[in-house]
Amino acid sequence: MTLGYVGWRLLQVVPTAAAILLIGFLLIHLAPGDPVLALAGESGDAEYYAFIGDKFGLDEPLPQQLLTYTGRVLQADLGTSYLQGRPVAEIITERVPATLVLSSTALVLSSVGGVLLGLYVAARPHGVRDTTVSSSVLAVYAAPVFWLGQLAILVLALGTGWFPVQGMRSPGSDAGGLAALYDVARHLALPALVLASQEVAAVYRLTRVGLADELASDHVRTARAKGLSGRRVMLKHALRRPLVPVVTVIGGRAGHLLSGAIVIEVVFGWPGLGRLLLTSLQARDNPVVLGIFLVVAFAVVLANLATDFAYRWLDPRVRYQ
Amino acid sequence: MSGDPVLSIRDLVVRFDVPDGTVHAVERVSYDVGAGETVGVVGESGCGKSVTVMAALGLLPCPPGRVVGGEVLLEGQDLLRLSPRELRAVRGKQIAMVFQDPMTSLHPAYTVGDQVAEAVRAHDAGRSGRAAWGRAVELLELVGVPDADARARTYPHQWSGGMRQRAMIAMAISHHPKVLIADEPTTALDVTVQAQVLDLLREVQQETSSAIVLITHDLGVIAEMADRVVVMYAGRVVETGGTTTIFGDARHPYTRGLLACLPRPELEGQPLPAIPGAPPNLVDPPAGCAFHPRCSLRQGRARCVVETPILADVGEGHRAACHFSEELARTPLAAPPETAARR
Repeated sequence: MTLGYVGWRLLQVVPTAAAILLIGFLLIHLAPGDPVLALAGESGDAEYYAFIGDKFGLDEPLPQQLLTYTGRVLQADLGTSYLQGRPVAEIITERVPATLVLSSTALVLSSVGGVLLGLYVAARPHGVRDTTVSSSVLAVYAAPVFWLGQLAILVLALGTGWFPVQGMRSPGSDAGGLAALYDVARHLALPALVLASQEVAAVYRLTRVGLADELASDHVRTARAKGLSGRRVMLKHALRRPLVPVVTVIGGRAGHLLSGAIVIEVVFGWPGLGRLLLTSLQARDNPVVLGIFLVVAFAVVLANLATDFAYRWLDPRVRYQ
Repeated sequence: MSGDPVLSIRDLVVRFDVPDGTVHAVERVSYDVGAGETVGVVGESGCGKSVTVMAALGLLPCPPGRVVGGEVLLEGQDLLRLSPRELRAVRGKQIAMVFQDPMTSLHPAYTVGDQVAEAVRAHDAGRSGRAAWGRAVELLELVGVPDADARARTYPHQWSGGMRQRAMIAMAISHHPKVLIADEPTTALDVTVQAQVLDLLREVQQETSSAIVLITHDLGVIAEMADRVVVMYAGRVVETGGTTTIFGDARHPYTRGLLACLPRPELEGQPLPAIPGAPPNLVDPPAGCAFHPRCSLRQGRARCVVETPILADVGEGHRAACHFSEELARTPLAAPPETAARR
C-alpha cells in the first residue's frame, strides 16, 4: 500500500463530503414543518415570526442559506442551536464521549464474541454446539432491541440489583479516578451487552461459514500435513480469509459508532448522541440535527476508508488502483 | 523390495457416512513400501487411492470419513493408534505429502517463504525464525526455484503452477521424511512441467533417500517412476507387482484394460480403446468381484458374481485378485509402451 494510494483515497473524501453536506441540508429543508413556527409557537404575531426568521437567517433564500452554512462548516462552525442558543459543535462534542464509550464497547464485544463463537462451533458444522449457538444467536438477533433492553433492566437490573437501571453515572456521585471508572463500567454493562448481542449475529455467521469453507480447503489440508498444531491451523491458516468479510461488517458498524444506538440510549437513559438526535428532531432543532448528520456521515466515510486499508493486509492479492 | 518395509498398510478399511448410506471407500487395502523404494498406486478417480493415504495420516475429514479397521505401520508403529499429538509429530517429519493442485494447496495470504519456513519450524521449534527462513530459501534453491531469496518474499499468486509444486516439494522434504507421498503431483500441470516435476522428485529422492508413494491415474508416470505398482479398483487392491511385471504380464483384466488404453504408435489413426461402463457406486457395490459388470474376461461365469476374489500370488512378488487370472497368463500383452511422459 503506497502513500500515493492513501493520498488519493483521502482526496476522494472531498467530493463525498460535499455531497453529504448538500443532501443533508436539502433533506432538512424539504422536510415538512416550518422551524419558525416550531420556534415561535403557533399563536405568535407576524412581527415576531419575522424577528425569528431574521435572527436565524431563515428568511433568506435557500441557496443563500446553503452558501452561508457551507462557509461556516468549512470553519468548523456547525451553527447555533435554536433551542439551547449554544454552538452546535459544543453540544455534539459533549455527547460524543458517552456514545463512543457505549458503541465501541458493544462493537468490540460483538466482534470478538462473534469470531470466538465461530471458532467454537467450526470443528463440527451442524453438530450440537453449532445448533445451540446458531439458534440462540439468531433468536437474540430477531428480538426487538427495545424489548431485550427492557427485559435486561427487569431481570438483571431490577431483579438482581447487580446493575443500575438508568444513566451513565450514579446520581450525586462525585468520585474520581478508579471509583468513577467502576461506576461508569457498571452503568455500561447492560446497554453494551444488549447492543452487542444484537450485532454479534452477522460476525458470528460470517466467521462460521467462512471457517467451514476454509477447513475443507486444500491449503488447510497442507497446513495439517505439515504437522502444525490444531490451534495454529485454526488461527493462522483457517481464520485469515474469513476475516475479510468480517472486517467489512465491522468497518460498516464502526461508521455507525456515533449513531447506532438511539433506541438503546433511550431505553437505558444513556446521555449520548442518539438521545440528542431524538430530542432535536422532536423540537425541530435543525442545526443540531444537521450537525449530527454531518458528523455521523463523515465518520462512516472514514471507517470505510480504514476498512479498505485493512483488506490489503488480510489478502495481499487485493489490488488498489 | 528388500528387508522390512518402512511403511506397511494392513487391511485398511475406510467408510464414509453420506445421506444415501455408507460408502465403502477402502476395503481391506494392504500394501508395503520399502525404504527408498518408489511405489506407484494407480486407479480411476474414486477408487480409494488417495483416501487410503489420507486415512493413514489422519487427514480424512471425519465425519463423514471413518477408519473402521486395519493398521498403518511406520517402521512397526501403528499410526492409527497414535494420539492426535503423536500423529502430528509424524506428519511433515517422517511422512510428508505433496498434493495434486499446487494452485490451491498454498495459503494465498502468506508468502511462499513463510510457508516453507513454517514447515521447517513445525518440527524444529528451537530454530529461530531467521534461521528457519534461511533454511526455507536453501530448500527452495534445492528444488530449483531461481532467485529463491527474492521469490520467497512473494505470494503464491505470483508463482506459476510448476514453481508452486516445487515449493510444495521443498516443504515436504524439509525434514528428510522416510516416506514422501505424492498425490497426483503432476495432474494439474502442463505436460512439459510434469516431466520437470517428476525429475525433481527423483532428484530429491536421491538427496533424502525417502521412499515415495506416487498416486496417479497416469500409467505413463508409473512406468517412468515406479519400482512397484499397486493397482486399485473400487476401494480394493486388484493387482500388485514389479513395474516390469505389471506392464509385461498383467494378470487382472482391469490392469489389462488400463494398459490397453495407453496410446500406441502402431494404433495411430484409430480411436483409443476404453474400458466400457463406469466405476461402481461404492454405496452399493456389486456382489462378488466389483469389476464383473465391466469385465471382458468374465463371459457370463457365475463365480464372478458370487465370490469376491482374494489377492493371490500369481508369480514372484506378483499378486492379482481375479478368479481366472491364469487365463490371462496365456494371452501375452503387447510390449510395454514407450511412455508419453518420457522426453
